[in-house]
Amino acid sequence: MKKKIIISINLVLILILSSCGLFLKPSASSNVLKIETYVEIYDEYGNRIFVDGKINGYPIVLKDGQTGITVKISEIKSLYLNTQMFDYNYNLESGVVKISLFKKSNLSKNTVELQKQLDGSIIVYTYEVDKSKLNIWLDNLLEESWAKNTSVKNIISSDENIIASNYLISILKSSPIGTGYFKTGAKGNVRIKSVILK
Amino acid sequence: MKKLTLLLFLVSIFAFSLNISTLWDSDYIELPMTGYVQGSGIAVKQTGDIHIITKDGYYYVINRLGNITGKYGTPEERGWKHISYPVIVSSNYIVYVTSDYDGKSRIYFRSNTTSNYYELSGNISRSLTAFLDGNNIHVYVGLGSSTFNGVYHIVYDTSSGTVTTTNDKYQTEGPVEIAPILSPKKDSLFVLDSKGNFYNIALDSSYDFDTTTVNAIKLGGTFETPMAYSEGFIFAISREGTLYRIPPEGTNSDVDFIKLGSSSMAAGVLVDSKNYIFVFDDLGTIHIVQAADDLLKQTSYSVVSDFEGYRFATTPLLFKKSDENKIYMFVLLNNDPEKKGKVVIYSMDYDTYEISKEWEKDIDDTFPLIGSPAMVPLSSINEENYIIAFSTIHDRIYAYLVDAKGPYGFWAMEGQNSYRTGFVDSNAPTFRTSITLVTKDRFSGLELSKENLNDANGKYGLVYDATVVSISDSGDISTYTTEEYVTNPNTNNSDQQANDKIPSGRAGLDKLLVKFSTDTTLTLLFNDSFIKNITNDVIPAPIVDATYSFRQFSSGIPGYEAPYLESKEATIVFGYDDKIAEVLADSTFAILVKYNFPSSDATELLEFGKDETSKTIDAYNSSKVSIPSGTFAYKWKVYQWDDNLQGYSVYDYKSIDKLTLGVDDTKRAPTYVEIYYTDLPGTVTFVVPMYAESETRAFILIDAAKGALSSTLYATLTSPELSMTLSTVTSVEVDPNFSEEELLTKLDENYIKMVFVENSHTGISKDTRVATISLWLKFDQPALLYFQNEAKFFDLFNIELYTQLKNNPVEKELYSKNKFIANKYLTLPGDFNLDGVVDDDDYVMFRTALINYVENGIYDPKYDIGPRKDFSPPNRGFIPGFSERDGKIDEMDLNVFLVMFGYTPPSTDIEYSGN
Repeated sequence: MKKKIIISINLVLILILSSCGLFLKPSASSNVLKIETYVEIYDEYGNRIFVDGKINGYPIVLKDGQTGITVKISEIKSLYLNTQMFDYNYNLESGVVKISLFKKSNLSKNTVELQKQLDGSIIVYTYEVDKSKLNIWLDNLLEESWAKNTSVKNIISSDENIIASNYLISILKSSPIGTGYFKTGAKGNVRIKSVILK
Repeated sequence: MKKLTLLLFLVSIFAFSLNISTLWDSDYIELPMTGYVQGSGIAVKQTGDIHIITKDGYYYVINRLGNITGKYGTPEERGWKHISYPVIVSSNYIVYVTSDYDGKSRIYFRSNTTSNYYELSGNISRSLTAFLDGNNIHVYVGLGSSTFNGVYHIVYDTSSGTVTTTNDKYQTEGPVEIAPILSPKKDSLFVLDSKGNFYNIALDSSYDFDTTTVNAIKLGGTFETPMAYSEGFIFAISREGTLYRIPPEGTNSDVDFIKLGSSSMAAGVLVDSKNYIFVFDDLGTIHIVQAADDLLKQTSYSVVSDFEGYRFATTPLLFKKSDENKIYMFVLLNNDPEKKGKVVIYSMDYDTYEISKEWEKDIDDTFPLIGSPAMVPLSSINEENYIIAFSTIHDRIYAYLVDAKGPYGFWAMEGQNSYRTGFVDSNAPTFRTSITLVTKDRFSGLELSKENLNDANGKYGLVYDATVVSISDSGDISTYTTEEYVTNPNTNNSDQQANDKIPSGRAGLDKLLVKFSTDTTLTLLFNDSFIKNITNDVIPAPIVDATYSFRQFSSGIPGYEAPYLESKEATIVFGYDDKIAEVLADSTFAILVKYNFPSSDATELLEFGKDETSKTIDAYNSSKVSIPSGTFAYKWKVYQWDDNLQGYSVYDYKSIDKLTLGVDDTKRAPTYVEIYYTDLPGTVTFVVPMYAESETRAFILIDAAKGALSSTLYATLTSPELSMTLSTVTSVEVDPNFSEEELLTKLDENYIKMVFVENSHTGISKDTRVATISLWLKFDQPALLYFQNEAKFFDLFNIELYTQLKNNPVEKELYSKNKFIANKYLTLPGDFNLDGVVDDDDYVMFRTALINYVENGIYDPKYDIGPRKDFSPPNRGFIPGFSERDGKIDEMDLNVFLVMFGYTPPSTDIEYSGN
């Protein structure tokens, strides 16, 4: 008799705790929110992104492709960003808060994090991922799926495939994924449930 | 090809069952030229004599042998622009109308010796309505002029040869071009003016207009084409192509109509004895509409597709053969530019509504509007030997003999109904037809006949009260003395006197008033013999186990009227054919359940309610009987009354939890259920894919009760109904207290045997999941494994578990409980490696398969997952459905894969049994 014991080996499992409140649903009144102080968040690659957080206790919101808070401030008393991967510098210039993200110095290998771009789509950050297949399982169904290189021609020839659909964002490369970022067109209020590297 | 053509030709000859031949030696008889205008109308007497009126005023008679036996009158030099077909009102008289369409019209009263007329100022209607009462010929015609639009009642005294009533008239809003129709009782005249105003004008005892009693209905549209009347309704077609059904006593809102498309000028509306309406439009299309609850177009047929350039010349003729469920249409077609005509017989099959061309003949002439075909019986109305005659524009008279029956009913009066009786023969008003009420169970459709029910007391059908009254009498049954009848009458007695009565009445003249009030109670299953021999006297005496009650009449009964759908009182008009009116009955049945527990038993009487399509018996949940814990229902025996067997059917089931009666094998019927219980030693649960296709995951779960020493699984994976094999056993997870005895394991693609032994050999201390066996099954054909009754799984899968308890004897028959679960999440399109998720591993497999197909032409059906039937993607409530297997690995498969990618079922419970 052939017995097959299914053994799952999770090489790295990074759980973003739900208490972090990443990707909270915009509140019902967001349509009438008016940004009074713009907040510009740049990752270390120069991408402008949205990171959930608070400045002076006011939540940072993403509205119409802009990030900001709904009150006018003259100084930054406190700042908090919901990220496990990045540290940040900030200042207030001409009424605009500018935040620069840079990777924490003590990051473990195979760290993965999701943030949003200004159009609401998901950007995936990786740190020293030493496998070529990365599966990010989500806690919720994606509202908009997205795939790169899915034409029949590309699917056959491509060295890099990213498919984000249902509960999964999957990155396949012909070589280890390493450190960097992947922009996707997928959207949804999702959190990472588990990360599986193969 | 030639052989095929010959074969088709032979088939067409033998398929044609109508015999038609010329009546005379010659094809036709041409009337002598008079030098004046030509064109004639004809009427045929029951003697076979054909009476012809020509536009120039001659009156000819041709006998059955083809001799011109009469030529009467003096030709009128200028002739008439219009002449109607003649109407035979007595053995001596014919009447017709003429018009110059220039304000001068006449009504002619002619015999072979006299010719009188009455002149009216204005344009007279296309034809007239007339009948003889004593010496008086009563005529009703329509008129349109600058000073008067309406209808006239003219009386001609045949004894004096004079017109005695000339000023009895009724004014309408528009000119009346269509001949009025007289009600069957001659107490109303139905008039439709060209502006769409319908009038039901009461007639007094002298047949004069009672102008104080007129019911008017506004239809809208323009009307010039003859109306038809059948079973209390007028049918009319407007120039705009809308067919109306008008209840003469009703209001505007009671009128039904249906838009048919094109106008209809040449041909009148016809209605057959089954209440199908035939409209022949000016584009050459036959429309056939069924008049039941509503007007419903059943079919249409373009004669132009057979004969390009031809159109209907005049009103066709309908006839039929008594041994066929068909209607024949005798159609005259004109090709005016080429001055040619065609005679064609079409048939329509009442079952399929297929219209076929049965016979055709070319005529080197065209047909006038008034030359519409007429039909009479050669001898008796009941013999299928009839004469059909018609005329051409150049006064050629054609006559044929056909082995079919002439029309019944109050037809459009375009010649074929010479006697104005509604029938083709003069004595037809005495013709009687019957209405048989047949009750059916509204769920099963079973007829409640004596033969089907075979009740212990000889009862059947539903009892109803009824009376036969004239069509215009009150419909209130409570004002009449009624008789008692039974539906589904038994007429099979050798003694005819013992047969059940069936109501009959005058065709088209009478109606049946019906009232249901009594339920029928029967003992079908639980009779003396059954109670004694099968149930061992579980109840002391026979019981009423079936009750049938009136629910409603079925739809589609011609001439049926009731105040509301489920009214127990109704009216049905006697038609021109015998009618069978279907009644639907509610039914309630007794269900007796006997619980055979290990050390006691109990019974429970349930009811299969009248609105319940199914009834579930739960072996573990009864409102009246307490089920001992720790027992399981290992066997069911079900006895159900069966009309086919004149007795009962028996169904055996194994260890199911519930049985739903009324689905799958069983029916709604009186039922006796016996459930046998024993102590529960163990359970084997077979979890199968609800949508089984290709290779799919499955599980076998083995549970043992406290005290179990061992569990032995016997799983036969072949099934007569399902082509399924074991692909592989992917894992066997065994409880630490048990071990698999591998020496006894047997495993091949059709069979699994596994033995699990409790390690201490003293018996397990508590109920335990002994093993979870994960399998891949391979299905040759897709199969939906979803059944309302768990019992159905026993037909498909032979899975058994023997559990040896410490204190039980070693008896192979003491099998454990079986349970089946269909889990839809076991089928995930795109999960090629069958690990329960659609992820990058599947993506790599799919990509390889895609490359193999696109670049190397290698097709692996495993990856042919799209397009899919009944598929619903994950974000729309996932349903896996089935692949249509289009034989390609392409973008449709990619699309399904992308839709499924990243999906993992929300329920990881392998015992999930939702939809």
